[in-house]
Amino acid sequence: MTRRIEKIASRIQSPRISGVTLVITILSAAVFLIFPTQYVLRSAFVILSVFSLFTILIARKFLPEIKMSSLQESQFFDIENYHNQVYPVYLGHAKIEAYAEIPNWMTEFEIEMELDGPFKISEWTPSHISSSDNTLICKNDIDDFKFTIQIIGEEDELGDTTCNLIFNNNKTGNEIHAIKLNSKSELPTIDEDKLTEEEKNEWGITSPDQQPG
Amino acid sequence: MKEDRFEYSGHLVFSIFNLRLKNKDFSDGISIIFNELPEYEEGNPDNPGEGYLELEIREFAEKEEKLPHWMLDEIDNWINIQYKWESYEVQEAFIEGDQFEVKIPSTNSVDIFFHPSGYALFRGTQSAIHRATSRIEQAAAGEMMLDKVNLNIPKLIKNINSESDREHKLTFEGATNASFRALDAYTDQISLSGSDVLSDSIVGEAQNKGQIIQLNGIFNFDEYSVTSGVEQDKIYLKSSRDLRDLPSASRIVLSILFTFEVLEIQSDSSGGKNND
Repeated sequence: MTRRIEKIASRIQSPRISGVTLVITILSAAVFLIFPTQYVLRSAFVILSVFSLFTILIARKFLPEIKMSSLQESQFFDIENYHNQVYPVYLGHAKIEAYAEIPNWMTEFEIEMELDGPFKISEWTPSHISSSDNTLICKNDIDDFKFTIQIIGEEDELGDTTCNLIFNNNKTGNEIHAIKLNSKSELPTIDEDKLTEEEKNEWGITSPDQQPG
Repeated sequence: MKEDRFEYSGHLVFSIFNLRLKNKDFSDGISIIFNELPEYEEGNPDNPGEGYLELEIREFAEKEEKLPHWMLDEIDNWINIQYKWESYEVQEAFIEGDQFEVKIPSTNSVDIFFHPSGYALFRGTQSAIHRATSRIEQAAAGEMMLDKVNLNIPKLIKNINSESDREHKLTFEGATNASFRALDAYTDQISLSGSDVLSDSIVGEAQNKGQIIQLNGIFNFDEYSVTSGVEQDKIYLKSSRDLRDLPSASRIVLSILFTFEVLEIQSDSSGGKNND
């Protein structure tokens, strides 16, 4: 029952229904101006538009949205980067792991990735999710999925720049996640000789006592 | 001028990746690397050298005449390159009493071995491997991804023990120790000896304590005995036992084929490479 109500609410949330509501509201305003004496007609349109707007607002407020998290696969990504959601792009390349949790009521979805910088995005998704023009499309009823995003740019053209990568739910029109990409022209250097044994383990540097060949 | 001997620096530690391609087969993927990355040439401080070099280890190993023919034939299936780049560090120097800034060059490299099945073995420090994978993916402009493999060590042990349709050349002589990450994320070691480690009860006991993350032991590979460690995303070989007596190219070839055998056995019965 709850799922059915959620499904109805999800349909109300769709951009098409929102458009219809907008048209009804405009029509109500027009009726209000054109037929100032037609009390019944006027009232009906006002009630209809208020009800439509109210339904959409309620639906938007109470229906859960897609939840997304991301993490960079890099030794140079630290807790501060994570907190600020700023992802360094060194030498024109970054690889970001993302996880999306799909609410129960959503049986299909489209996630669009909107980028305002000089990068190319390449997404690597599970087989049941297709991708085209930076949009992930799924028509299966799934609960969650992981995917990888490669950020690629021409090193010579980038310099030190920052741009935004925004993830939108195309069905609801909501922004579900946003990160910043910070292009760096220099790769941080690590002096492996100065690392402690613990740091070496963390960096995966083989310690001499392992004595491999 | 071509070198007349093959030498390698560093350790025989292979980080293992899966090569993933978008709507392309293996040879197309390799072509991307050769077409999009420059061939390495020595540079200068204003234009540091960077690119790939082909590694002709088969030719050198053949000249060394130490390995059986099947190994030389097998290594022919692999695409072997070295990704190499220069960096310059600015330092102050005094020349005849005057202070100057000088740029000291250093060269870094990673050896990369690609197999048509999709495995890619990277040999180098982790920071160098990070740079190499990033550069290759960047050059491939989103058409290629190198995914770290996550080896299932209990499954590897089980498959070494079990009878398989695929005839494998690897047997276990004995374990030296195994590391496991306990359920509370505390890493500990258990000491093992002999072939005990391969018994289901001991593997089960280790698994009850946590997740097995490393297994060190002595393996028999074809007619060779090698000491190796298998971790979740890398395999290393020590230059002891039969490996110690081999010249460089033969040592590399044997190590690559050993590593591949471990990967094949580990993925056996799963119907493909394990990446879970």
